[in-house]
Amino acid sequence: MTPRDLLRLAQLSDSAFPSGGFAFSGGLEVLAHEGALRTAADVEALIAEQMLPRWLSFDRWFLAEACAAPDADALAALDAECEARSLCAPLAEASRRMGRATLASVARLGVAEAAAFEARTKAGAAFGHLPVVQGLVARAVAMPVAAAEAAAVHALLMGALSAAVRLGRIGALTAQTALGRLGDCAAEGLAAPPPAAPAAFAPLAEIAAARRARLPVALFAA
Amino acid sequence: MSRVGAARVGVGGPVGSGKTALIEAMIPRLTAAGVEVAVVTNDLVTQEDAERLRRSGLIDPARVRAVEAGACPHTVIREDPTLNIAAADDLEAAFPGLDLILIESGGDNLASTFSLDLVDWWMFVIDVAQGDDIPRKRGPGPMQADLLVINKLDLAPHVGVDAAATLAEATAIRGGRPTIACRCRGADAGDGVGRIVAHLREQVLFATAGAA
Repeated sequence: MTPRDLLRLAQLSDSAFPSGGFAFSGGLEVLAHEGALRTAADVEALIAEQMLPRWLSFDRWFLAEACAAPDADALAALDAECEARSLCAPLAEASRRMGRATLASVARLGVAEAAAFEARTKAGAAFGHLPVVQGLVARAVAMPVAAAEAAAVHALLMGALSAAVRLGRIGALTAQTALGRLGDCAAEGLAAPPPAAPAAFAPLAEIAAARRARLPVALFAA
Repeated sequence: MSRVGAARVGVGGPVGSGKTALIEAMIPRLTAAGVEVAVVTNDLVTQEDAERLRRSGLIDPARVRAVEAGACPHTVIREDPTLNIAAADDLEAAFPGLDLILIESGGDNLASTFSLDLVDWWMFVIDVAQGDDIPRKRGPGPMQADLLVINKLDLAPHVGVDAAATLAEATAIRGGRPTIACRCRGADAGDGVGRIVAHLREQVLFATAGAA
């Protein structure tokens, strides 16, 4: 990768890049509230055993396919497939909202493909799922798929750890130590070939996200 | 930005300063003036403000959207306003005739400011019972807002605050930029809410003085 590519990667994977991700916990808030998530080790285990495998077996497939999609209609078809295969409603909504938020940001940077797909979502002709949008953006800015995967998985890990910091379940410095270990797990997962077909199975996190509506007070959207 | 649509106006300020009460007081006046309005709330931990507005009878409940702030009331209106932008876009799509979308921040501190990617204009609401030194602290919220609102004027004598002096000091600190005192509940002697609505219509909706 050239220095330009590396800087582009840093920009798009930075937690300061507006993508709406800070408002979602991926079920972590519910588990913290219910007492299932008490320590930093609990947080790290949840991410390593539920969130990361779910991303590697599901989101990664859509991201890679979107990177290779020949046109906007193919992207819309992938997006519809992502919607059809998203069985956990709150996580599906989180994916759509973060995808649309990312589209809104990238469209305002002047990326025409993002603006066009944003128009489709506004017209109700597309859902705007996050991994599809991440693939669209990578393709539009000529980012290699491996870099796009690393950016997306970093955003996943950092988003979950940041939510855990705000929920008081892990310290900010401990979170960085955990991020190092989780990054190693993610790299190992990314070194393996992507799945032949998308599949999501993370029952603890998914059922927790589905129970979010029962929380008396909630800081996060899901 | 080339966006064409409803004007987007931010309403920020500390917890309990009366942001929701001000919106409740403004809606009937805006509606009477023919302004089509919708609201996005950014409640910190619940949908309390959104539910209160939906049940108020003042506005079609479908015109109220809640956006979660992920424990970051600053972030959702400033560093990453994309979720609020999407909520406002959804309201515009659902109600094409909208003139105005009020975006209410979650209760925050005096450093809270709105991104101009999100709003066209914004106001900051404080109240006299929080102490007469709030304007003197020169927080970015009270200093940078297009309009500073000082609410609960009637409480001033009960909390040992000289309302007139606080108002004068706030106006001076803001270099003469608009500051309006009001009372959202009960008799509003100086019709502060009416003046806030008139000011907003003139500054943001470009209504001419005396127009319906």
